[in-house]
Amino acid sequence: MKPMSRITIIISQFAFVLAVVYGLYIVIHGHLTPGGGFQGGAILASAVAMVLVAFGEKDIKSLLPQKLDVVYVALGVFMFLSIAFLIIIPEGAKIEGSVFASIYNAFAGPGGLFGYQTPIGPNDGYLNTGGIVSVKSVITGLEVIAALYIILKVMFWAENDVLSKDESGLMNSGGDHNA
Amino acid sequence: MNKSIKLIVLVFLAAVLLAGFMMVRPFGQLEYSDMDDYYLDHAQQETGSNNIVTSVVYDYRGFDTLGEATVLFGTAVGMLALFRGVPR
Repeated sequence: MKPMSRITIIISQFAFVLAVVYGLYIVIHGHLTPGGGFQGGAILASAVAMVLVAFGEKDIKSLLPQKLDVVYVALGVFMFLSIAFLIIIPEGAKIEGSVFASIYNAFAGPGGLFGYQTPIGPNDGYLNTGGIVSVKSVITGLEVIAALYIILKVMFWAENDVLSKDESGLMNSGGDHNA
Repeated sequence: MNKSIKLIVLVFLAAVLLAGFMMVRPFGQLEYSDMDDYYLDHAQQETGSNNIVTSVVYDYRGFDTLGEATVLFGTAVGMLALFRGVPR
């Protein structure tokens, strides 16, 4: 795929920064505002897709990871699995009435990462609350961005392969990448 | 013959869907709202999450979300396997 015009490349760089910040915000604030891991990961992946389409194949190899993406997606699933299965209710655990639903929310309460006690009732929404819900949201965001990036990258390779084999211009008639 | 069958099917489908649409309850007036009331009343103190949708997705129905994540993982691995011969 050929790179698009210079205007598109410059504007896509600015918009990439904004989209990444917004996607990280959506992922991290999953326990406070609408959104969460899946939605924020989709925003991050669409930012990556925008940059991939704008840059073509030219400079993209230095910008994005090439080898570790499978590790990230496997890590996301594995961490989600381990949190889902390892933190079941401990025997004789004291449930203080604030941190128990279907799994034992061991991270909420004692402090630490996302660990402060959530105020009951309407409140301002403190970021450092939520416990396991927030951690799982972030892990899901990691897994979604990795998986969608793998899909994008593989389809990008395939299109490059098709375009390099097809010199007669059959697939090139879309007009999107002729800038 | 063919056209009349299509017409009959169309009229039947339209009648069924219109009947279903007529029987929809007004917005906000649920018949059974026990589950919703439970979530609204207890989700914050049970899961520690202000966002009740997130508490349902990641805590009450966490295994469903685990299945979604596994589906996404399978999709990524399947794409890699499908395009394994493509030069990078």
